[in-house]
Amino acid sequence: MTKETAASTAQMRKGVLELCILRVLRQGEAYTSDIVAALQAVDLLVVEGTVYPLLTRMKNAETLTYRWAESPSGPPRKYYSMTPQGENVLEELEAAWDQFVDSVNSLSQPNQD
Amino acid sequence: MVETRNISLGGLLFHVELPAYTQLKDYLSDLRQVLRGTEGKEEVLQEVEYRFAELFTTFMEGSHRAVVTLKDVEKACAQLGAPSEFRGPEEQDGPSAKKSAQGPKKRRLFRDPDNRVISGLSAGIAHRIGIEPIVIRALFIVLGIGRIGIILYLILWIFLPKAKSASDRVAMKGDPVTLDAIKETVEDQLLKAKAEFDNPKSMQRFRAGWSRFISNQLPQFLKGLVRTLGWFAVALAVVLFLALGGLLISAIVTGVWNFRFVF
Repeated sequence: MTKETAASTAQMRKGVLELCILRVLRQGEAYTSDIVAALQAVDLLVVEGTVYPLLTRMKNAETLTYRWAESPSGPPRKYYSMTPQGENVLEELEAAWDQFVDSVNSLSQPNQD
Repeated sequence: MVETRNISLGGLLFHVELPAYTQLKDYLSDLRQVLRGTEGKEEVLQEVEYRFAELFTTFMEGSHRAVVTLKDVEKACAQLGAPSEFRGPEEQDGPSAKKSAQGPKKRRLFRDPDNRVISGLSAGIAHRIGIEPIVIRALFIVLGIGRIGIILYLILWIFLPKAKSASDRVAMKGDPVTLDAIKETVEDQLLKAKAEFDNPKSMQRFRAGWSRFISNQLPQFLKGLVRTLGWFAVALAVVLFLALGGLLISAIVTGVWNFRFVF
């Protein structure tokens, strides 16, 4: 991959990150590192850093909420979960994503007429 | 043997080797720069500190060590990613990001040993204000005729440190935020105004440019000037105090009769 395409791909990943985080959290509450691990497992995230500002922003927008939990070792952990409002956001983003994929794919199809 | 620092991260105590400490501190301050103006900045920074604490705890437990090394910090930083990764997609490589990464640097007052006639004091002051050293030298000579300049010079010589290291020199000369930059801005504005003078909108833009110049760069320049002049004011007060004290003593010693000849 050239430098330019790598940069574009990184931007694409960042663009869908909010949707991906919400999809991870649909399966139940998760602690930051769980979210990171889930995203890294499917190559949607390279480094952790990108997630932190986004989680804070989503929390402030009341898409997410969190609770503190003690950790067996190390500092306390923040467990995030989706709010009812977050579920609406997820639905909207999923619809937008589907349409986006359809639109992009339609460009590579031969013309119908 | 390596010197260590004790730091608290996320409420936990860590012993960190000095090079590792420096690296971690640089990373966090770079991150602070990148996040400047971002919503929830402090919260993100706190979360990052917690994450470092957690990673260090894991590293320490995994290898039964008590001290965080440079390798640990590098590993943790690699996992979190470069500070630029913390930017959202919409703010990647924007002009504001570039600006905040550099940031305006304040110049510090030193004696400039590379550019000295006596002690490099005048050159140092000139760097600080952003003018030619000859102006300060002339000022000292003029003041020196009335003796006050000599005393002032000696006092400043005693109190001002010499710029020794390369970083001192950079701090002394700074990036040209002061007079040069202002001169450039003014010239730019004038050229632009000249080029677009027939355009009725240009006058409006010219005014907007000036107000931007006055609100952004002028205060910075004035602040620097006031701080430097403040230094002079303090030094002057000390000199006057000493001089008056000296006069009083000499008046007592030589008798009030001779007092008026002191001047």
